[in-house]
Amino acid sequence: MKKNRQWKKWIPIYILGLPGILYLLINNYMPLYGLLIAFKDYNYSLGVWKSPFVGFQNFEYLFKTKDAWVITRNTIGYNLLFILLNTVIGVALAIFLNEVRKKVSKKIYQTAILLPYLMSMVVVSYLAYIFLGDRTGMINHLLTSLGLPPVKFYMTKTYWPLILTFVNEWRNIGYGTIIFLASIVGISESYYEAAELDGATKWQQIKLITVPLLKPTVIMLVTLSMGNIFRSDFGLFYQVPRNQGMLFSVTNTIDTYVYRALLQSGDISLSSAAAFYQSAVCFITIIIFNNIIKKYSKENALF
Amino acid sequence: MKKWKRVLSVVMMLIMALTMVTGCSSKKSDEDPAKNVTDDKTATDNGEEPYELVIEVVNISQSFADIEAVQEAINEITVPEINCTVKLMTVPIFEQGTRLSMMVAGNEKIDLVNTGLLTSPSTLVGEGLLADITEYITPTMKELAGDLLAAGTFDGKVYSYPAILYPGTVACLFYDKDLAEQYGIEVPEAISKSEDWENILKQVKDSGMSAYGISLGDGGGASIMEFGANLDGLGDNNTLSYGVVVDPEENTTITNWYESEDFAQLCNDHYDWMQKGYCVPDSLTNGYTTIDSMANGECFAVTSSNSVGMSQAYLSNLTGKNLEMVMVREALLTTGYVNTQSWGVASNSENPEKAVQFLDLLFQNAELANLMNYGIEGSHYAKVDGTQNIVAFPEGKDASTVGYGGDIISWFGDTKTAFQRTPNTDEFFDTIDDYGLEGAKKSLCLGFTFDTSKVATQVAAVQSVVGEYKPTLTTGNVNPDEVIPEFIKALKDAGIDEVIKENQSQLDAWLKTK
Repeated sequence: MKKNRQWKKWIPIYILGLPGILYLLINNYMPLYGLLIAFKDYNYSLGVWKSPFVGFQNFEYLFKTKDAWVITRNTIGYNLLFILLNTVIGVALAIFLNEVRKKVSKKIYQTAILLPYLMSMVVVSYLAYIFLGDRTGMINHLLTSLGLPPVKFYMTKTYWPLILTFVNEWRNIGYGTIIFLASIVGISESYYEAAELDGATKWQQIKLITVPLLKPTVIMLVTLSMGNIFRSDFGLFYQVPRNQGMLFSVTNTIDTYVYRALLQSGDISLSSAAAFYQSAVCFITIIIFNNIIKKYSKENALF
Repeated sequence: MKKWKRVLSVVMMLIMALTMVTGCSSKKSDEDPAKNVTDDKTATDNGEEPYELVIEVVNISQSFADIEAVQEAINEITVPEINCTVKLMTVPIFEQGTRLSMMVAGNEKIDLVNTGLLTSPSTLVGEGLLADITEYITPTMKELAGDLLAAGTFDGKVYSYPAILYPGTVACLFYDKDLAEQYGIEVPEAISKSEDWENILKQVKDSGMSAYGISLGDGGGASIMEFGANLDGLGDNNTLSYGVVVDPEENTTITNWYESEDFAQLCNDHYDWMQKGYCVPDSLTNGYTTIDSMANGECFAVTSSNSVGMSQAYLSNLTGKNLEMVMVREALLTTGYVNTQSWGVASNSENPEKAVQFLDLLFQNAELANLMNYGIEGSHYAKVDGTQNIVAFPEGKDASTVGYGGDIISWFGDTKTAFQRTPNTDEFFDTIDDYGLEGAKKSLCLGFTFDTSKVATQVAAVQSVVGEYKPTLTTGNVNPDEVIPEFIKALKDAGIDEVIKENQSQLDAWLKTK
C-alpha cells in the first residue's frame, strides 16, 4: 500500500521527464530498429520490414579476404597506440601548461596546441603533403640539398605508422590537454601549499598530488576511447595517405576498407553490416574494460 | 486547494509534453504552396486536373532565381500537350547520390530522376528506387532509342531511358598544337600501338620543352590505354572488376583483364616511360587531374575518353590551350556508356505514365528541351550570331549570374535538335552521328547488365584489391614484373574467377534470349 502511494507521488516528476524520455526514445532507441538492415537485402520500395532476410550474408565481405586481418590489426593497433600517447602526452602537456605563470603566454600556448584540432583533415592532408611530396615536398628538398637521395614517402610503407601517429598526435593532443588542464585547475591550491610547507619538490608534488587526483579523469577518457576502439578516424587514414594503394597494409582500417569496397555499389545493407560489427565490438570492449576498472578501482568505473 | 494545484501542474506538464511531440510532426502540410497556385490556373477543358510532375534537375550548386518563370513557360507547353505542370527541383550533384533514396524512403513527391550520373540504373533497380515503365514507353520513344533502350532494361522490364541518344564514347589524345608547331613535333593522325605513344613522348622529351609528354593521372578509373584497348567493362568501366570483353563488337568471352598480356604490356610501357622521364613524375599524389596538368602547362598532351559533348572546342576552352585531337579508339557503344546519363521514374511516383509522356514530349519538342536546358531566350540565353543552333549567355551575364541554367548537369531532350552552348560550334551537329547507333561500333553485350547480387561479397573484395594495386601499376610507379603476379594472386584470393564465371553464365543466358 505504501509503495503504491510512493509511485503515485512521483507521477508529476515522470511527466516532467516525459519530453526527455520521449526524445531519448525517438532519437536513440527507435532507430535501433534500423539494425535490422544489416541482416536484410534492403530494398527502398519494400521498406525495412518487408525486405528479404539474408542472415549474416552481409557480413561475409568483412571477413572473407586477406584484408580482414590487416584492417582489424590496424584499427585496433593504431587506436591502442593513440589512446596511450594521447593520455601520456596530454597529461604531461597539461601539467606543463599549468606551471606557466604568465597569463598571456599561457593563453598563447593553449591556443597554439588546440589550433590543429580545429582543422579539417583535408587541410591536414595537404599540410602533410607539403612536407612529404615527391617533387615539391620540403623534406625531399632538404634531402636533395644535402646530397641525399629523395624518399618516395607515398610509396614506402615503413614510414607511415610513424607519420600517422605524429599527425594524429599533432592534431588531437590539444583537445585532450584542455580536458586534463581543466581538472588540474580544479585541484585545490591548499594541497600544494601544504606540500610546499613540508618541503616537497615540484616533481614530488606532481607525482603525489596532481597525477593521483587526475586519475578519475584519465580513467574516464580512456574508457570512452575504448568505446571507439573499433572505429577509426576516416580522414586520418584516407586523406592523409592520399588513398595510396602501396600503403594499404599499414593505412587500411575498417572504415577505409568499407569505404573503398562499397564506393562503387553504395550498398546500404553491406555498410550497415560493417557499422553493426563495429558497434558490437566496441560495446563488448567497453563492457570488458569497465569491468576491469570496477575490479581495481570501483569508484572510478563509469557504470 | 493544494490538491487542485497538483492537478493543475499535471495538466500543464501534459500540455508541455504534447506540444513538444506535435511540434515535430507538423511539417508535411505546408511543403509546396506552388502546387495550389499552379493548379488553380491550369485546370483544363476535359475537367481533369493537370498532374504536377516533379523533375530532378541536377546542377553543381546554384539555386536558380528565375526557376518559377521557367516553370511557367514550360507549363504553357506541357499543359495543352499532355495536361501536366512541372515543378523543377534542383539537386546539387554532391547530394544527388543520396537524395533519391531519402525521398523514396520518406515518400516525398518526386517523379522524373536522373540515373547513372553517380549511381548506375541497375543499382537503383536493385534497391527498389525505380519504377517499371515498360508499358508506358511510346512507339516514338522506342524508335528513337532503338537498341539503346536495352541498356535500361532489366529482367525484360524497362526502368530507364537514355538521356543522350548519342552516347558512344571515343578514346582520344589531345595535344597542344602551338607547342607541337614550335618544337616541330610530329603527331600521327591516329594512335594504335604502344610504339606510337613512345614515338610522340620521345619527341617531346628530346625537343627540350619544359613540359612533360603526358600525365598518367592518379590511377583512379580506367587509364586511357585501357579504353584504347577496346574493352567493354560490362557495367564497371572504372575498376573493371567484373571481367572484361575485349573487342566486344565481335566477341562475348569474359576474361580477367588484369591477367591479360595487354595489361602487362600497358604497365610495362608506363613504367618504362616513367623511368625515362616522359610523364609527370608525381601525378599519383599531387592531386591534379590530367586536365589540370594540361591547363597549367605541365604536359604536352592529355588523354581523354570523350562523349559527344566533350569536343575539341570544349576542352580547348577548359584548358586554355589550342588543342588538336588524335583518335585512339573510335566511338564504342556499351551498356555502361549508355547508362552514364539516363532518365528513370522514382518508384514512389504517383503517375509514372505522365512522367514517361513528358519524356516522350521532351525528345520531340526541341522548344521544351531548350527551355529546360537553358531557360528563356533573351533573359537566360541568346543565340550566337551566324550559327544555327549554338547559344551563349546573354550580354553581361555569365554562368554564375544568369537566372537559370548556369550550371545544369542534367541534359534534356534530343541532342540532335536541341541547342548547344558555346564553345561548341555547328560542327558539333555534323559529328554527332558518329556517336550514335549509326556511326559507333556496337558492343555485342549492349543491353546486358551484370546482376552482382549473387557474388556481392566477392565483388566488394575484388574492387578493394583493384584499388590497392592498380593505381601504382597503371601510373608506372612500380615494376610490373614484381607487382602484377602479386596483384593477380590477390584478385584470385578475392574471388575474381567466381565473379567472372557468374558474369559469363548470365551473359550467355542473356545472349540466348536476344
